[in-house]
Amino acid sequence: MISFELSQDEQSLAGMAREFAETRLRPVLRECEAGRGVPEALGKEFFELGLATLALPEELGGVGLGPLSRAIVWEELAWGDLGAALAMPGPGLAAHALMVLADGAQRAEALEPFAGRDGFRRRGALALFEPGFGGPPEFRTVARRDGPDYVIDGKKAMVLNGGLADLVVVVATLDPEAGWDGLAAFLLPGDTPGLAWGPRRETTGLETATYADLVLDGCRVPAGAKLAGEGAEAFGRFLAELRIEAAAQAVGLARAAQEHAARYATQRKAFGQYIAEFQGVSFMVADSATEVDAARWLTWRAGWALGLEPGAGTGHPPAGELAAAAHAQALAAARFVTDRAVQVLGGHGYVDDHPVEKWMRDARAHAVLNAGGNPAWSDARLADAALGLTARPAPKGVPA
Amino acid sequence: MIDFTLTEQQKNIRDFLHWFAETEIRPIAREADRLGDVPPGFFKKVKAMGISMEAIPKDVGGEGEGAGEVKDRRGQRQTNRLSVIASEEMAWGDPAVVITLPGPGLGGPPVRLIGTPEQKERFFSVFRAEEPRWAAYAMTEPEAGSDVAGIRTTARKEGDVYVLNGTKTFITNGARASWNVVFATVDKSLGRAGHRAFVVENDRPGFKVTRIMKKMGLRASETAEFVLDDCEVPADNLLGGEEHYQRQGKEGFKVAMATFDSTRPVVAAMGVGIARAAMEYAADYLKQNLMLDRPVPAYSRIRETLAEMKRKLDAARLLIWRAAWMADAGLPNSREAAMAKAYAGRVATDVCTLAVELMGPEGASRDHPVEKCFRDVKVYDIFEGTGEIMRVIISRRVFQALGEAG
Ligand SMILES: Cc1cc2nc3c(=O)[nH]c(=O)nc-3n(C[C@H](O)[C@H](O)[C@H](O)COP(=O)(O)OP(=O)(O)OC[C@H]3O[C@@H](n4cnc5c(N)ncnc54)[C@H](O)[C@@H]3O)c2cc1C
Ligand SMILES: Cc1cc2nc3c(=O)[nH]c(=O)nc-3n(C[C@H](O)[C@H](O)[C@H](O)COP(=O)(O)OP(=O)(O)OC[C@H]3O[C@@H](n4cnc5c(N)ncnc54)[C@H](O)[C@@H]3O)c2cc1C
Repeated sequence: MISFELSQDEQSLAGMAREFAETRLRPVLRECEAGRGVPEALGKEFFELGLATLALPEELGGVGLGPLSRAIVWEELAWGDLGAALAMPGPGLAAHALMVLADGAQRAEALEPFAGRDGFRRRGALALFEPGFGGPPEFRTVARRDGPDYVIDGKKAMVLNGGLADLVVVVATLDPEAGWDGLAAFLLPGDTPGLAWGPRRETTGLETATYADLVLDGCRVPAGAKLAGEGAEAFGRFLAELRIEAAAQAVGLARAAQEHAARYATQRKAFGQYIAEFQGVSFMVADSATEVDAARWLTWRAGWALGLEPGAGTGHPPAGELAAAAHAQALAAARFVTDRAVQVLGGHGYVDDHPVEKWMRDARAHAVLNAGGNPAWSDARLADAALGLTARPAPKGVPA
Repeated sequence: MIDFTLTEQQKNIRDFLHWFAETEIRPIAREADRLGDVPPGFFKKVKAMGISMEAIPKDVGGEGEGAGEVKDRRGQRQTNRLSVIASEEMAWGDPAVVITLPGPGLGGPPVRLIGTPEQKERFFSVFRAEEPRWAAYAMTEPEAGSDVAGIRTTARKEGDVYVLNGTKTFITNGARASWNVVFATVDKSLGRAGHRAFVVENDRPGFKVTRIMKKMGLRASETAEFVLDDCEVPADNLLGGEEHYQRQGKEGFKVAMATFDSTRPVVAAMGVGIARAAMEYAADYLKQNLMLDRPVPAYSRIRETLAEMKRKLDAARLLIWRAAWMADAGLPNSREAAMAKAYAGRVATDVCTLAVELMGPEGASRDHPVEKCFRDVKVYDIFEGTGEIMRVIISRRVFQALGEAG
C-alpha cells in the first residue's frame, strides 16, 4: 500500500541526525571549510553517536540500518554540512564495500580496529573511480594473479579520505575485456607498499573533505585481500548503495539552500516590499521546494526497494534502475536549487555572509566527486531501460 | 511505514485499465482526434463488452466506488491513490477519450462535497440511465480564468427560484452534460463570500450552448461555451442549500477550491500517462532506426535525453502519489497537490516535446502518435489551475510554513 509515512524509528533517527546537523555542523560550517577538516572532538562525537557506522550490523558495532533509513539520516547530515559529514572519521565508503562485497570473516577483520578505543581516529576509503571518463565497466586498474598474491596496477582519481585512510578498498578489474563481470575489490591497509597517494587536491566545493589521487604501482596483496563478491551482480548492488547515499546527500544539500532562500525572501525588501512578493523570486522558491520533494521521493523509493528481501516483487523496475534515477535526478536538483538560492539572495548570496554560495559550490563538486559516480552513467543506465536494452538480467542480490 | 507497493486491488485495476486502454481506447484515438468526438458506438460497445464504468474511479469520469455515495468514508481510504493510478493508465491510452467517458466528471466532486442528501440522490440518479450521461463543472468565464474570484455570472433570488445570467467558457462536456455545476455570485461586492454553486440542468430555458471550441489537442473532448440568459433554477438547486453558505460565511468560495486538492493529482497523473506513452513510442522508434548507419540510441545525447525524460516522469509520479496519499490520509495537501500539478504539467509537456524532437521530422507526422501526445498534453499545464497559479500556491505555503515555524 503506497505510503509516505515514516515509522517511529525512522522519525527518531531523523530527529537525532537533524539535531546533530543543526547544533554541531551548522555552527562550524565555515571553520571546518577553512580548516580543511573536522575537529577531532566533533569527529569523536559523530563516531560515538553511531553516525559513522550506520550500515554496519550491530555485532560489528554498527547501527544496522537499511538503505532507506540511511538515506533519511544522510539527508539530515547533508542539510547540516555535507563537506563536514563526508570528512568525518570511520570506515566511510569502505563500509559499503565490506557490507556488500566482503564475506563475514573479511568484514569482521577489517572493521575490528574501528570498534577499539581509537576507532574514532581511523578512516576508511574507497578507491573506485578512475581518471578519464570511463565508468566501472571501463576501469583500467588491473589486478593480476601471481602465485599466492594479486598484483595491482593503475590509477584512481579524487578518492575521498585519500592520504588519510588506514584502510583502502580498491576496485580493480581481473579482466579488462570483461566489463562489469571482471570487477573485483581488494582490501588494502593504508601503508601497503606500492600504494601511493598524491597531494590533497584543492576543489571548488566540499573543501572540508579531503580528496587525493591514488597510484597503484605493482601493489602486491595476498589473495585473501580480494573481497568475496565479484562481477556484475555484486557490483550492481554495490553501486546502487552508493548512488542512493549520494542522492540522499544531494537532497539534504538542496533542502538547506531552499529553506535558507525562502526565509531570506521573507526578510529582504526591495522596491518597498519583501522580495517574496515578487513572482520572479517566489516562483524560484516554489520550483526549488518542488525539486527537493521530487528528488527525495525518488531517493526513498530506491532505498525502499534496495532494502527489501532479494527477489521481492515490488512492481517497480529493479532497484539498480531506481537508484540510477534517484542519483541523476537528485544531483541535478541540488545544482538547480543551490543556484536558485544564490540568485534569490542576489549579491548577498555571492559572498560568505550566507552559506548559499558554499552550498552551490558543494553541489557542483558533489555532482562529480560523489561516491555514486558521474550522473551521466546513471542516465546511461536509465536510457538502457527506456530502450529495453538492459542486456544483463537484474542482479540476483537486487530485488526485482 | 514508507511503502511504494500497489495493493492487489490497485494492481488489478491498473492492469485491467491498461488492457482496456490498449485494446479499446488506442484503436479509436486517432479517429476520435480527427472527428473531434468519440466515434458513435464506442460507449455502447464498451457497455456491450460487459465493461461497466464501475471499474473506473469516480474522479476520472466513472462510477466506481459509487458516484452517488452519500457517506464520506474516513480512515484508510485509498480512493485518491486508486484514482491517480487509474487515470495515468487510461490517459496512456488516450486522454481525450478518457475525459469523455460518461459520468459526472468534475461535476461530481462539488455535489459529493457539499450537496444535501436529497441533491446527491437527485443529481446522481441521472447516471443510472441506460444511455450514457455526463455532468460538467463550469467555473471559467471569458473574463475570469485563473482569477476565479472575478467571476461575473450573477444569481438573483426571486421567490423560490434563482435567475442566472452570464457566460461560461472552456467547459469540458458542458454541452453534452445533463447538468452543469455553475459558479455564480449573488453579490459582487461581497467578493468570494458572494459565490454560490448551482446545479443547472441543460434543458432549463435560458441555458444556451453558443459554441464548441476548436483546439490544438484533446480534440475528441468537447469544450463548450454556454450562456445563461435569465436562466431560472429552483432554489433547491443551490448546492448545499442556503444554510451551507450561512454556516461557511466568507468561505463560500472554498467549495470551488476544495475539490482541486483531490482533482489536481488526478489531472497531473493523466499528464504523466500521456508523456509516458510518447516516451515509449519514441524509444521504440529509435531502436528500430539507424542514423548515419549507427543505431540511433548509440548517440549519447539521445540517451541522455531519454534518461532525463524517464526520471522526471518517475519523479512526477511520486509527487502525485504523495499528494494522493495525503488526501487519503485526510492530511491537508494543497501544497503537495499543487507541486504534483506544477511539476507534472511542466515535465509531461517537455517530455512530449522531446519525443517529437527525438524522432526528427517523423515526430511531426500524423502517422505517429507522438505529435498527438504533444498537442494533447499542453493543456495539462493550463487547466485545473495553470502552472503559474500552482507556483503561487506552493510559494505561499512555503512562506506560511516559515511563519509558523517562527
Ligand atoms: C562580486 C560583486 C561585485 C559588485 N560590485 C559592485 C560595484 O562595483 N558597484 C556597485 O554599486 N555594486 C556592486 N555590486 C552589487 C550588485 O550590483 C548587487 O548585488 C546587485 O545589484 C543585486 O542587489 P542585491 O544584492 O541587493 O540583491 P536584491 O536587490 O536584494 O535582490 C535579491 C533578489 O530579489 C530579486 N529582485 C529584486 N527586485 C526585484 C523585482 N522588482 N522583481 C523581481 N525580482 C526582484 C533579485 O533579482 C534577486 O534575485 C557587486 C556585487 C557583487 C556580488
Ligand atoms: C481544454 C480545456 C478544458 C477546460 N475545461 C474546463 C472546465 O471543464 N471547467 C472550467 O471551469 N474551466 C475549464 N477550462 C478552463 C481552464 O481552467 C482555464 O483556461 C485556466 O484556469 C486558465 O484561465 P484562462 O484561460 O482564463 O487564463 P488566464 O487566467 O487569463 O491566464 C493567462 C496567463 O496568465 C497567467 N496568470 C494568471 N494569473 C496569474 C497570477 N496571479 N500570477 C502569475 N501568472 C498568472 C496564467 O498562468 C496564464 O499563463 C478548460 C480549459 C481548456 C483549455
